[in-house]
Amino acid sequence: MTTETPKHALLAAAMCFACAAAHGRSADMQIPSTIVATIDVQQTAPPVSKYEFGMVIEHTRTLIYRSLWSEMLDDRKFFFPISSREPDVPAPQQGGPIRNMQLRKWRPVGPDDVVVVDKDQPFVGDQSPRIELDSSTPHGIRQSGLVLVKGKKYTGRIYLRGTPAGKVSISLIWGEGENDRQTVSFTAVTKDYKKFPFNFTSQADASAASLEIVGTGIGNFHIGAVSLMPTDNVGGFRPDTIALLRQLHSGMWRLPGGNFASDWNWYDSVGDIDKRPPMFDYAWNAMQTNDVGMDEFMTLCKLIDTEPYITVNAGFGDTHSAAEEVEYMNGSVNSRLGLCGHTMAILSPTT
Amino acid sequence: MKFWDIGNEPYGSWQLGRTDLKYYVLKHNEFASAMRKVDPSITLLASGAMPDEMTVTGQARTLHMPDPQAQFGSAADFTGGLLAHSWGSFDGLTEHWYARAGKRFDYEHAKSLPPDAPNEECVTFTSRFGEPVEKAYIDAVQQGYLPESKLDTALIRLFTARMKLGMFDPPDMVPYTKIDEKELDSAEHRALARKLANESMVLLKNDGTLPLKPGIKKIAVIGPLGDETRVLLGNYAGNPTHSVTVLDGLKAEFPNATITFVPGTQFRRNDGNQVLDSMLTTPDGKPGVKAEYSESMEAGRAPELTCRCLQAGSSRISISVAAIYLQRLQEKKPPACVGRDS
Repeated sequence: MTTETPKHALLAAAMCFACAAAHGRSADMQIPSTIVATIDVQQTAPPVSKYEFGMVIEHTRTLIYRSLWSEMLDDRKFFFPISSREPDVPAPQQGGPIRNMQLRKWRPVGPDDVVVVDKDQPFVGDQSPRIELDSSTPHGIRQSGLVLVKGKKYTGRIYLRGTPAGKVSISLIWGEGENDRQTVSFTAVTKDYKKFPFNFTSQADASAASLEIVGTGIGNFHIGAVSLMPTDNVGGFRPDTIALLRQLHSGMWRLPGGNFASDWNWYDSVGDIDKRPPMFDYAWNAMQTNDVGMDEFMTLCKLIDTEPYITVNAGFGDTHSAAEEVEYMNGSVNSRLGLCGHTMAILSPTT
Repeated sequence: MKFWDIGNEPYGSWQLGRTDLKYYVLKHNEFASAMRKVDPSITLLASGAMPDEMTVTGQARTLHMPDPQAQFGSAADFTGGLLAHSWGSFDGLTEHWYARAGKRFDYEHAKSLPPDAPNEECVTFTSRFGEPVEKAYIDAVQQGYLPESKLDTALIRLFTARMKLGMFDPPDMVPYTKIDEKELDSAEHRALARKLANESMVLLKNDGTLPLKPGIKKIAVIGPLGDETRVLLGNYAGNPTHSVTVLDGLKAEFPNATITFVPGTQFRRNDGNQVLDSMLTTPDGKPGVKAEYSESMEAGRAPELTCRCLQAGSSRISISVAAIYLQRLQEKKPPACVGRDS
């Protein structure tokens, strides 16, 4: 099979020879007493390759989701148990590395036993929370520790199913007072999962705001997945950090890492973002929602104006998956996965 | 998508699905073939590792003790292995280097450490707190804390010794390079080393206890370093062929005495003596300690046990108690036991 000129191989080989030469330098080598160097200012060298400077990005614990991705909720696909007994995590240390930040937890609103992580017909992943309703006391779940900016708009979506005799609402809560919240109610919850969009505008600055999903009535309701982002996100990414990264003028970005790549199943990172199963990454011991997947990486590179450079999983991965990954990214519309890839690229918000 | 890389740091013990080089090159070739079949135009990169990078990460040190520098073509040399066995199955090689500000791998120092010593111990600081190491001395002189003459005295002694050792001369001129290896560690040398050690010892204080009387019956050795040898060496010490702990020395000198050793603290050791409940009081006044167990799975940490008692304040102890682990595993929690923190 004919391949391109192996430029990089030649470079690497040249480097090896240089090392060998350095090691092999003997004591009797003649060192000139004077070294003369001439600089010809008329002579212009070829421009430096843009690939001389690049970056690597990896799903290292919370790194991508805290620094680049706009999602404000943690565990938005309910990977972890929901209980008041689950230990609280300490607040992230000031200036601590972003990748080591801990995830916020969902807590029951009402007694612990009203929230059951139901493994029967989950919306995504292995389980979806089921909330047992009471006719007068609101039952549900809450996530605290969100940061809000006064006047800023927030956009979200939630997947719900439930018994017809239940009313479900979602509230963004920025203070202790009765009016320090905004609530959106959903009346058309049915026995099948349905997506409900919602919008909020925070009326205050807050560093420990909450998102609360509760219902009242008879029977129960399930929450499939929920998302909350600042409305000014760019294709799901943070405009502020993207602007900073553009200033680096990187020639290429290697992704997805990294040790993470060795147990990442790329198939789970494409398609409907809310239906991608969350995974547990054993390289960094962290849950990953798979929200930032192959197509989001491509969006990121377009936004930063850099060239992607994909690492395939040669750890736990296999040759077939790697070949199909190439097909998904590079295949023509006549190939099965190529068609998927093209479709997803068209659906991608920044294309 | 033009650029594709097969695998990540496949040489690393931290890499999930790691195989040794012999199998990794087969794996690489299989991947390359399958990927090029889909798109022959891709630029394929192989994940190599230069020996010096591996030296920094400790891979080669583990594989090649006592020589921590990986040899070309050895099992630790993934770059060499890929060049030899995967040529044609890549268009380029990637190499990972981890430059660490203010630190560098100290080859000479690493040689003197056991193969399982943490990499962090093989590192020499080239700067401290973001400043060059020498800045502290310059500041001390300029601010009047250190007379320049004292610094001169120290430097003159240091460089005189180094010059006498021939460290600035061509090896041919240095008599020490001609010493036969058989002479090393000879009885004569040992006697001289012992004389040197005796004469360089400085006794700072003696209330009459020393020297211990020959008929002494009971000796208590107290302190966590009493049975350790590493603390007997300085920062730039060589690798001794024989060393004696304080405890062993006393045992040899006083074979008829009862010698008891108590570390006293858990410094540098995982064992310890039980502390009586009556010695400890919880913050709310009860006997004993108050313990809290927490598991922060997302951060990839080991479970942590926080113990509080009135006397000792609060101390965090990382534990790897199998019982707790088993209990958590029975609750089907993902085990926090794989991974690399860097």
